[in-house]
Amino acid sequence: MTRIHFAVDHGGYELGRKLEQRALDGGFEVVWHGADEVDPGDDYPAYAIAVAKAVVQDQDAGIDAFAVLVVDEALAGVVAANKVNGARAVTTTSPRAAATARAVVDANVLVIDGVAYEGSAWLNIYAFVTTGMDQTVERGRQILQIEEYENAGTIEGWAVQLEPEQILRTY
Amino acid sequence: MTQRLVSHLRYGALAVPNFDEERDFFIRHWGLTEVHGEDGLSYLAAEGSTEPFILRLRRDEKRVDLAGFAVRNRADVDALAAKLHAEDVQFVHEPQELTGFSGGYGFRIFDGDGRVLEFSTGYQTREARKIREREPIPAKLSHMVFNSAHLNDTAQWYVDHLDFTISDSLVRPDGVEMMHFLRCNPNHHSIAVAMGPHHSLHHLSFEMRGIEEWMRGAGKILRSGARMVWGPGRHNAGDNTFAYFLDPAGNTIEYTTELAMVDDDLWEAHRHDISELSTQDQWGTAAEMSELVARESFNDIDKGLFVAPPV
Repeated sequence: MTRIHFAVDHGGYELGRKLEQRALDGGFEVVWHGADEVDPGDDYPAYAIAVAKAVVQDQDAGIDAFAVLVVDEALAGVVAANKVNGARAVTTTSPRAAATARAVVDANVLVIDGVAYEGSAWLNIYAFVTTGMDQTVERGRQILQIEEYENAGTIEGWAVQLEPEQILRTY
Repeated sequence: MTQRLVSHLRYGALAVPNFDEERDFFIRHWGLTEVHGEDGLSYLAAEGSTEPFILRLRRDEKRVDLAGFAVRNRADVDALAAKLHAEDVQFVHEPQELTGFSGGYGFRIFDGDGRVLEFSTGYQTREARKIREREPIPAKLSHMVFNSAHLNDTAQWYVDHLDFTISDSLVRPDGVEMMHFLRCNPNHHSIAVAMGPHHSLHHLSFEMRGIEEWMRGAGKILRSGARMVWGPGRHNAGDNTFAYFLDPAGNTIEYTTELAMVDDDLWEAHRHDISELSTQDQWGTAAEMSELVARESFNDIDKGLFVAPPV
């Protein structure tokens, strides 16, 4: 069963709870990372980081999982969530865009504005969690280049980028 | 069509001094399942494979313990043993009931350079499951590659004694061979031999379900802190995608997918010039196969030549 991690800040709490219910009704497994009740003025970064870490951890463990972050300002949530190693967070305003984000960059965090219309937001989520990555080598390669930079600080192979003292081995 | 007594590559067995670290890496990060463990011995399976295990780790000085191959039945095991005896190949032990994990019937020999090879049949297989979409774990063992100080002799040994066939080769512009890819079934290669400064393990390669799983897996290994020494790219010889990493013991290991299948009767072996970048990487995105990159996979000298492992 596909798992959806939800997190919200004060601006996304109301919509987030409705979307959580829709996900449960839709047969998805849901993990709630938001506050138990509205916490006026709480900051979004901690929620963004928590939900992004949860989805990367699950995916690395072979669990089919996605993350949905509903916050006051979606664009800010995108910036915060993308600081997590392995997170590929986007915000979309149409199901088509959500599906494209899955297809081209295997996006794993969908960020939604707290003021979004519930029906539309759900269609975005549904398209997001039911679309696969394009099964083309180009997309896989491009994502790996991002991840290589994220982890190694290089693109196109470590070895040629290393300083001589780092590659010194005796044979 | 060539009739071969060897059906496929079963497993690789390695001895490593940092056994616990290596075992932990392969289970926690690489995505293998430990199916049997003894003191200083770990048998690791791939979820998508019926092989009881595809990698065996043993705590000891670093060496290649052996490469395990499958043979269809007992008659073929006996026939292969008789053939190898007639060819004066040195035996570790004769065909016998195997008492180790998963059992079976088989024998062990030294190849021309002293690597230990096992040929077995009738062992207990494992129930495989289909790897799920986006599941970043290996489906099976793809191939095993050795470094050899005398490449052509080593490759010829596998051709002469085991009826392997060279699928493709990499050559330098001056015509000197650098690597041979050898098949024993429709897979483009199950083993390969690379020109190296000494005999050692070049790399072990693990097949992923598809592109998406290969990408997810490689991303996961990058996050584990392992170094990606070469890739991501796509080979010309074999047409498979590649991403090479160093494991905690300094062995090179690869996630691959979409290795070509070849028609035994129709396939013509190619000689790819390594000075043309596209030979090594169809995409041209991985680093050039430079001396520096090659050196990463020279590995430590194999201490296990003409010495049988204790198990």
